[in-house]
Amino acid sequence: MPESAQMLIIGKPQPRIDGPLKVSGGAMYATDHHFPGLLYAVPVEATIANGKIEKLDIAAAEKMPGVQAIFHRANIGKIFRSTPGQGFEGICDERRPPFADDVIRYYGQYVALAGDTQRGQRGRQHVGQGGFPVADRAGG
Amino acid sequence: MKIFNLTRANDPAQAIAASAKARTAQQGADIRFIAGGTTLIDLMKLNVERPAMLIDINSLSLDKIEAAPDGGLTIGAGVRNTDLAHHSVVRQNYRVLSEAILSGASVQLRNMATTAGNLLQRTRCMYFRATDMPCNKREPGSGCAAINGANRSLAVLGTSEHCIATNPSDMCVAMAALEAVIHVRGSKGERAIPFADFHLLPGDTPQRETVLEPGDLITHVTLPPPAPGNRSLYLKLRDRASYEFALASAAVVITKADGKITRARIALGGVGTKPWRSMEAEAELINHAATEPVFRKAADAALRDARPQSQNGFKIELAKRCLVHALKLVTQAPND
Amino acid sequence: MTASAASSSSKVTDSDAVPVTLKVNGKHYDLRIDPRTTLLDCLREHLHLTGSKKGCDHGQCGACTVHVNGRRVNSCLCLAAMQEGAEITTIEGIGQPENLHAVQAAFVAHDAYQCGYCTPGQIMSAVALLKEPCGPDDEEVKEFMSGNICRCGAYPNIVAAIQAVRQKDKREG
Repeated sequence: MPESAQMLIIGKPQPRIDGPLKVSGGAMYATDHHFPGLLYAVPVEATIANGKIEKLDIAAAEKMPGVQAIFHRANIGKIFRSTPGQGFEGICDERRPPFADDVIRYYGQYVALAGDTQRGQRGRQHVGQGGFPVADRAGG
Repeated sequence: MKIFNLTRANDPAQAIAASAKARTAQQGADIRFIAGGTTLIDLMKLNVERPAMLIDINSLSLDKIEAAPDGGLTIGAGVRNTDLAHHSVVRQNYRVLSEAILSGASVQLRNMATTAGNLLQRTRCMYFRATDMPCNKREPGSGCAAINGANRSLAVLGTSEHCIATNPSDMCVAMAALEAVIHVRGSKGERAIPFADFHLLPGDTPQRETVLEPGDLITHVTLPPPAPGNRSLYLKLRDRASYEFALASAAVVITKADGKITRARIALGGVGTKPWRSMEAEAELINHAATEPVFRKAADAALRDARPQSQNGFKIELAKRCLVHALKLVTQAPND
Repeated sequence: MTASAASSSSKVTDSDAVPVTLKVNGKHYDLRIDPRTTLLDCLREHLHLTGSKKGCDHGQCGACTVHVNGRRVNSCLCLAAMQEGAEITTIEGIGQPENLHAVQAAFVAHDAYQCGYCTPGQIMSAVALLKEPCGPDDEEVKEFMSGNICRCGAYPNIVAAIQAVRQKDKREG
C-alpha cells in the first residue's frame, strides 16, 4: 500500500463495524446462542470439604422432567488435563481434571453433572449424595 | 435457589395474616415479604435466605410521602429510595437523609429498593454470604469465621465474641441521627418503634437483627419536625468514589448559635453492628464552641468503646476523622 | 454420617410453574415459568432477547440493566413473575442498527466500548440518565453511571458519548 494511502488509516479514527451490533444488543456472545437440543449443564457439588464418594444415587434425578442425562465418573469418559505451554508450567492452576477419582478435596467440588433442558436446579436437587464417610485426613 | 410459592397481598391485613404463620421474622424465615427484592433475591441466590413463601407487597399503596400533623414527615414503607432521596421536603428539611441515600448503591438499585427494605438490609460479611463458612448469624452455634479471618470491612462498635458483622445501610445512619420512628402493624395491632430500639446488637443471638415478629409489616417511617435552624450532612469514606459500602461514615445534624452548638445528633456508619447513634459524641458537643478540638473530643468519645479486629483497627481513627471532618463541614458552610 | 443433596426442598414439577404475561418492547408474551426465574433469565432464555447481559447476577455490575415502567433497574434481581402489567424496555427496544437511538449512535461515534459486553447495560443507563436530575459536569455523569462497570475501561469514551448527546439535546432543546 503506498504510504499516502496508509496515512489515511494510521492515526485516524476508524468506524468499528462491530459497533451497531454491540450497541443494539445484536452482537452474539457465547451464552447468547440458542439452538434445538441445547442443554444446560448443572453441577452437583459436594456438601462436605473432605471425604470420599461411596455412592451416587441418580435414579430420582434421571426421572425429573427435562433432565436428559446425569454425568459422573463412571459414564463421562476420559477427560484430559490440559498441559501448560512452554514457559507457563508454574501458572496452570488446575492439575486435576474433574471426576478424576472418588476423593472429595474441597467443598463445592463437582461430583456429578446434570444436563437439563432448562437452566435450573431440578436435576441437581435430586441427586442424592449417598454415604459420604467421614474420611477426614485432618484426623478429626 | 430454593423453590417457593409466590403470592401477592392486596391489602395490609392480608399480608399480615399470611406472614403471621412464619416460624420467625429473623434469619431463616420461611415466609418473607418482597418489595424491591434487592437484598432478598441476592441472598436467595446464595441460599442464605431460603423462604418457602414470598408475599409480594408492592400493591399495598405504602408509597406516599406526606406531611405529618406535627410538622414532620411520613414516609411510606414502599417508597423507592430514589424518590425519597429526591423529594423536595427531604432535600430541604432533612438533607442528611437525601445525601445518605444517594451515597449508597447505584441508581438502578435505588430505583428498586424501598424504605422498609433498606431498614432491613443485611450485612455484607463474606462469611455470612457463604453457606460453606461458619457463621453464627446464619447458623447459630456454628462459629464466627470473621473474628480471626478477613474482617477489614467489619465492625468495631457493638461487636460480641459471636459476631462482628457491620450494618451496611447509609439510610439507617441518617435516620438514626434524625430520630426517625418506625411504624409497624402486626397481629396485635399497631406500634411505633423509636429508631434506636429497632435494630438489635448481636450479643449471643446474632441471628436476631430487629425487634420484628412474624406477621409484622412495616407500614411507614415518620421523621420528627426538623429542628429550627439545623444544618445536616452525610460524609461517607470508602475505597472507591462510588458504588461501594462505607469504611466509615457520619451523619450529623447540628444547630449552632453564636458560635456555640446548641443541638447535636450524631450517628456513625460502616463501623457498627447496628446503625450507630452516638449520644457520647453529642454530650461533648452541646453547649460547646464549634471548634476542631471540641469535635475531636466528641470523636474520641464516640469511639471510646471501639474494639479493633485483626484487620480493621484503622477504622477507629478513620471514623474519628470522618466525624471531625463532617462537623467542620456542617458548621462552617455558609447558609444556602 | 451422610450428606444430603444440595437442596432438600419439596419436589419441583411443572405444576410449580406460574403464569405471567410480560410486555416487552411493546409486545405481549404469555408465559409459564418457574417462579424463581429472574427477569434477566426470562428475557434471555425464554424470550431469546439476549441483548441484556448476565455479568454478576447479583446487582453489582449493571450489565443486566433494563427499564421497568420507565425506570432503570437490575433485571437480575427482579423476579419475572412479579412483572405482570409492567412496561419493560430492553436494549433491543431502544434502537436497531438501521435505526439507532441517539445514544447508541454516540457510543459508536465515540468508540464507547471494546468487547461490548457491558454496552447494552451502559446504554440503558445512559438513555435513562437523559431524564434524570444529573448535573452538567463529567463528574456527575460518572456518579450517575457508577452502577455500570466496564472491565475494558471504556469509561472516558462512555462519558464523552453521553455528554455529546446531552449537549446536542441542550442545543436543540
